[in-house]
Amino acid sequence: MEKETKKKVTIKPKKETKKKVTIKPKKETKKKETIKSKKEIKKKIVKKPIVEIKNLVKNYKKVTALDDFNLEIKEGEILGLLGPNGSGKTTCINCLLSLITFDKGMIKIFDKEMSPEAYDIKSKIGVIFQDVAVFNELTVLENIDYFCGLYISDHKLRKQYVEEAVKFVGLEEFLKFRPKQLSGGLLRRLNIACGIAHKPSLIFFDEPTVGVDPQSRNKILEGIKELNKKGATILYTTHYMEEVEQLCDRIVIIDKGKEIANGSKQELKEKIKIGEKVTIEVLEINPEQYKKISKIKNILDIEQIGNTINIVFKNGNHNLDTLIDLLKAEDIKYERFFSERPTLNDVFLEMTGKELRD
Amino acid sequence: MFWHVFVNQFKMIIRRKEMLFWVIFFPVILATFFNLAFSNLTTQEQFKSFNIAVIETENYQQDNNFQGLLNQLSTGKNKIFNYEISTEVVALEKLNNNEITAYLNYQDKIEIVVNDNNSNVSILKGIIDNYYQTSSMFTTIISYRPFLESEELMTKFNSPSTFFQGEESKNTDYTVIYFYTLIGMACLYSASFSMFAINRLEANSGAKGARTSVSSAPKYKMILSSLLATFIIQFISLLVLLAYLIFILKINFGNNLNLILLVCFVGTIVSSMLGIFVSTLFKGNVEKKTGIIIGYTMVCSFLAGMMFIDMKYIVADKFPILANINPVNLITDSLYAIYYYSEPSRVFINVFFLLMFAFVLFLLSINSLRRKRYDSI
Repeated sequence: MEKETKKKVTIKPKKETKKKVTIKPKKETKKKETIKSKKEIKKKIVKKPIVEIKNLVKNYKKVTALDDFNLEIKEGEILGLLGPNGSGKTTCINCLLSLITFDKGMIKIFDKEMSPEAYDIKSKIGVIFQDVAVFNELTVLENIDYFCGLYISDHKLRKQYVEEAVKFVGLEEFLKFRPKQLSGGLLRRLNIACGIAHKPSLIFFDEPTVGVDPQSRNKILEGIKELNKKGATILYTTHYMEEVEQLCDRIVIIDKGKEIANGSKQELKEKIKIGEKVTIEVLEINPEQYKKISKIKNILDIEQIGNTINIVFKNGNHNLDTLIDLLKAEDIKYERFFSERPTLNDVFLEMTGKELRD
Repeated sequence: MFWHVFVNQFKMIIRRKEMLFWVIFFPVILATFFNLAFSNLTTQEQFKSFNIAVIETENYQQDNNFQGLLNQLSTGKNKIFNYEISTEVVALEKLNNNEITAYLNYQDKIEIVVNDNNSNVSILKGIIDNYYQTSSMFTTIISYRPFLESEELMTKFNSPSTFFQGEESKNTDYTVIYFYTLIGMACLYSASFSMFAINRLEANSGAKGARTSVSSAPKYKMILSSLLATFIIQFISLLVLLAYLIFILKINFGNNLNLILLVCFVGTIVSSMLGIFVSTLFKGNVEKKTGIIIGYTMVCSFLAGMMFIDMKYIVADKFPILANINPVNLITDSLYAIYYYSEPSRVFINVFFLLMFAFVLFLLSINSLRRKRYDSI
């Protein structure tokens, strides 16, 4: 093994250096440059916003649903739009789709101003509403075909698209079923098939997994990832933080009609006070020892429930080291000790508050 | 896209069993019950002639045609009424004692004096109206073309059948009105079809409407194709009921099939517009809107005399405007006019009112129908 390593170390760099310096130095530089510029172009294409909302204001009588709201969705990304009930998520989607009027602001999709008559824009959009939007009088196949037919006129192409959508959501065995005969999970999958059968490049998912079992939910999330891999840009709203963690490239948190945070999962986690959460299941602890633990630097919150001590640390260095040192010094014996980084749920609750909504 | 929506709307509607029940089967069941109930009544209580009085005025004495008409209609096996020449005081007293249904006072015009409105009064009014229209027509023809005063024309002018399609009173069964109201009722019930179809295109009606609205299919195309689908189903369902009444229950609708179809066609236009009106101007789900249509239909049917035949005449007498804006009444009255009178002017007047009614509903709905964005959904 050592010999092999040596060989690699000694021989390869020489050859590489030689090649680079003597034979094709200029060409390689050119190649690198071109590759670089291609990447740059790719990056530019990927980051181009295909949805732009600027200073959007929407009032429902005396209630302001969207208050100078701004949003950009870049091509190819999965954007998670999070917010408590009544925060303005659905209003935002309805404004985007030109279903409702708004008081101020501008909405552009695919670089064009969105309006109810913007049929060219609409033809590239798919929507999966929170409520299942299918017709009980039509079968599974007829439902998908009906909605696909509102976009695709060509009969052969539509047939092909419908077949692909059926396969995509795994409803092949239920084609002749009426929606009332389907379980909640299958119904949700049908709802998705109706929204994506026409192969839209921008898809809005408004809480598509409400009331769905874990298996169906997993299938749905995998499907969304696959759609994104195939090039679809996705706006995803949900209350399930683990879905957002699993799916989204970027997250926007909205509350009271305003954006309160915007960034990747990591960026958002860094924005909050919580650094880590530690749980210790002690065998025995006296009040004096507990008091000493609670005085450790950077502790945001501490509570004892029976033999379990939950500690929430602020962002900072050596929090765990200090804690372990103290446990040793005080000879506090423990059964289990574990630490976890803040979750998106912590981010959400810290940013939007813990008081009940609705 | 137009035919895609058309075919699917057609499928969806014919698969709504509860709607089909209300529009086709309920009127059929009701017609069967009516038939059972009236079959004895019609055999036992064939049309009975009624008594009237005629005030002996100067105009009456000079109008030989009118005298001839009264004589014709008060003689024979199937006479319409019995009349006697009287003074106004005596006639009024007899009217108050219910000895006569009405009396005619021929001054500048022929005035009909009645106590209560009922089917007999309606017949009498129809006769007098027809007499006026036809005699003025003949007068006009003769004044412009005196050479036409041929023997044939004068014979026709003097014939009571010119003024009144009594034809030996074969069309004097007033219980047919009950069956005609059923046609009117079925017509309005079928508004639930168009309501249902249009409701699904409105974004504020729920997720299905929203999904349809965000599609790249223009709204006006979807509305037109949906309306065409519902119109065909509505019209066919009406024809099914009509066929059941004519061929199975043997209800007499007269002989003018074209006019009957015209009334059904216009009735279907009214019901389509009513469906759009309810769909766009009332909030709520399909069930609530269906309830509104059923409730409205029942009220209209009641006022048109479906449950109590004299109601039709009471409304016509006390609230004539209400009678003219009640589509069930207008359809019933049109069918009755086709059955009873040879002259179609009354049918055309009713058809005109029906079309006006449909137009008003359309005007009231147009803003909501054209709306593409809502304040809230």
